[in-house]
Amino acid sequence: MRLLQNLLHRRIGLVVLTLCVSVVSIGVSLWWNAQLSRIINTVSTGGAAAARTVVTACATLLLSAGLNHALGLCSGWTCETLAHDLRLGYARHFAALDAQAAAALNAGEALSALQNEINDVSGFLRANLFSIVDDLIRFLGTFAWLLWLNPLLTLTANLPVVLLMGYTVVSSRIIGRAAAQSQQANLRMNGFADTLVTVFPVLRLFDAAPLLCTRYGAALTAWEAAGIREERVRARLMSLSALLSCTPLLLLFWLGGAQVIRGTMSLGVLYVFINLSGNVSGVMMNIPGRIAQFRRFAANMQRLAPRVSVVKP
Amino acid sequence: MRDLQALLRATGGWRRFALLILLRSPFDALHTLVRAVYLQAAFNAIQRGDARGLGISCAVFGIGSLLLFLYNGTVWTLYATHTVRWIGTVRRKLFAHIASLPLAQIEAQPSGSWITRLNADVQAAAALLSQPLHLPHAVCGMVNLAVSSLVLVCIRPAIWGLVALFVVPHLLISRFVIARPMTALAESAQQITAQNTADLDALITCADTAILYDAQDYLLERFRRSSLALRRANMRMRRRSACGAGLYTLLGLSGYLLVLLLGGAWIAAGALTFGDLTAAFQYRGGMIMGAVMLTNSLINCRAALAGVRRVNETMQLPKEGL
Amino acid sequence: MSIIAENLQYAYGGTPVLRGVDLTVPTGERIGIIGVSGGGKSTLLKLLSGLYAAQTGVVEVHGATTPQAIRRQVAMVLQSAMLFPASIRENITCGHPMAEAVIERACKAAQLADWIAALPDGLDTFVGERGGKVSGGQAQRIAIARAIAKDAPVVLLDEATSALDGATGGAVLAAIDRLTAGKTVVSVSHHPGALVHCTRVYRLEGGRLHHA
Repeated sequence: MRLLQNLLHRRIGLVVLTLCVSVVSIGVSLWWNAQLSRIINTVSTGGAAAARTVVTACATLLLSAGLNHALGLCSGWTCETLAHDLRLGYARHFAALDAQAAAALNAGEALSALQNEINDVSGFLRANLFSIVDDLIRFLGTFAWLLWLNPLLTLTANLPVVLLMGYTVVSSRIIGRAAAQSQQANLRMNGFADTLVTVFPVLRLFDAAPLLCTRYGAALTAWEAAGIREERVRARLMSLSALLSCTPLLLLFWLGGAQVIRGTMSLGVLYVFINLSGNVSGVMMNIPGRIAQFRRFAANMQRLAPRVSVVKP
Repeated sequence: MRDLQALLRATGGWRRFALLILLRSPFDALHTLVRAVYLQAAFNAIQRGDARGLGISCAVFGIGSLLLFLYNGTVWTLYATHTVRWIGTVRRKLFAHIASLPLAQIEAQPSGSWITRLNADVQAAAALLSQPLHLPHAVCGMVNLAVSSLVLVCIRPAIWGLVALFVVPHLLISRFVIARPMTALAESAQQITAQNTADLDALITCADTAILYDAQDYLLERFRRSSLALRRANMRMRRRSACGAGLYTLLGLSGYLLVLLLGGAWIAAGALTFGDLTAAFQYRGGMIMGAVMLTNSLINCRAALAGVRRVNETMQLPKEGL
Repeated sequence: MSIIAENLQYAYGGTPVLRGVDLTVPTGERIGIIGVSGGGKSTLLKLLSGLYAAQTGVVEVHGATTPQAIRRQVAMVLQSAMLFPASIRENITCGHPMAEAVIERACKAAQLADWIAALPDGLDTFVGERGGKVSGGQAQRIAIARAIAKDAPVVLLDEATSALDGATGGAVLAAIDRLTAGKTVVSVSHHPGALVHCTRVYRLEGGRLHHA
């Protein structure tokens, strides 16, 4: 991950700015929920929300919208700049080669790496780098605040999510294996398209179209079987996952509702817990997927590292 | 959609598709209904101080969710199986058809074009029926939007009006100000990407010449300029997305706040309970999600229909001897 | 006459390649056609083999005039072997029912018998994608065995040995001799040396055939 470290270090100012905007944005989002809690406590008992509270809520939502826009711009600019540095570092490596090393290069392979691996890495930076960081900040900030509001409810409602995470890891592996088999079958089948075009004259001359169609049909049948297996596995596991992800909401109502009935917690706080459950349990459920994405990204970065020269600032 | 009809008529299985899509369509709407009823019952029970009632509504929600996801899993499996088999049929027919074309026709186009027809075009056409946010999700979104709207109009027309007041401009701005220009911006970014790749190609294939004439810095500078142009092109798209993110927050939260304050007034007047209001929020969410899903799916369907069109064109090429 | 071509014209898009080719080949004769790359030699062969339909003019091969009927009278060996991703047997039979004796005779004539006998799976050996599991010479001989097994009266050779080096070319040439024995042969090459066994040699120049 030295390459990522070098890239981030080169643009540390932009990275820190984006992180700061993200932290402030999540802070404002939590502040919005605090306003919401106050309003709900008032209106649920038939009262009217105070003008000051309404104005504060309006200002908060305007600020939140502005910060989301700013976060989009900052993370966009930072990610695109990191991608530019990566591309330039890649080109710089080739520009610095001597004549012997340049002659030994496989141009097609180098261009393919630019198009595929660097595009994958840039795509990850663009779509996921700051969203992972954003999720982490959101999770930590929300979890900390909820712990401060009601530690017992926070822990008991979210502990089962740890088990759900384990389920997500196992189910992802099972789906991944089925998907890999389907992909292998797909590659074998796609190869027939190339064969058809390549041997077309012979196909015509020796009337061999039925032979090739039969072979293609066999590969297609194997692909169908693998594809159907993958889809069945995915449907069952993802449906169960979606069902199990209702657990945090159930627990919040059952345990939190009991606390509200007993008078140890307000309705507004319960509402905020429900509103923010996505920030905690939702992020936790996504962690295995994010880790898998990051692993693929790290593998690509490792492959690229010897061929990228990042100039220190 | 006429292209899709033509393809389905040629390959068969359209009745089963129609049935399975219909069976899939109510899932989101039912999910919204189940959550809304649960929240309504749970909050009402909490406000009444009825712990037993709360327990019952949690249990009913658990059972309802179980049945709902069981239904969804079953229909999903049947649909996905049928889709895979249908794609197989399309591929078989297309392969056999191409194998029966005259050699002159095959040689008149680059081999890559035929490989694209057999692989990429079929995948694009199949995406219409098998990928997320395409035809099935468009139907689901439409049903969710319709059901949520209907329920909201029945329980509180004023809330429906407020929701529509915020959702419609959001969708129009998302579609015409943000999404539509993105196509042209994405094409421009692709052209600049091609130029950037060409600049790297020059660095690699002309390396000998560059070393001889000390032109490596010149070639690197060309690459740097095209890379910066690519950054600018991508940022134009990111700016639009950032506008979308800000807009979504602004319209979403302000609509939420207005409904909350209006609902509060009704609660104060005794016309509504807090549980009823939270249910209304669920239907509001159903309307928004349904509308967004429908809009996004229709955009994706348009792109996928290009693949369907190309598959149909290939299937209509005259065979040898005809 | 085994092959008759009258006023054959063919153009790719707007570019004419053949501008009125006349050719007659008596049964059993062996003729050669030379010309520069891009001169239309392969196009002429494709018309004579029924792979292309003539845009203008007439092609008649062993009495057949339609492309589908012409192809039944013709066996062709191309520069590239163009093997299917299938077994040796399937590459020879092309999926058609064929007596084992016919296949074995074709393999023997194509100088393949000893090599196939040494393979663990024999004729059922998979040749790989694009013939990747066999050498260039072996692939070309499988293509020749395919042509022999078809037992067509007319044999067309399109640069059949151009892609092979001296070591492998010898076995392939011997196989081609067996293939063409007693048949009507049209052989195309850009090397005059490859056409020494032909009774007549033509030059394809400017879209027309001239005696060489």
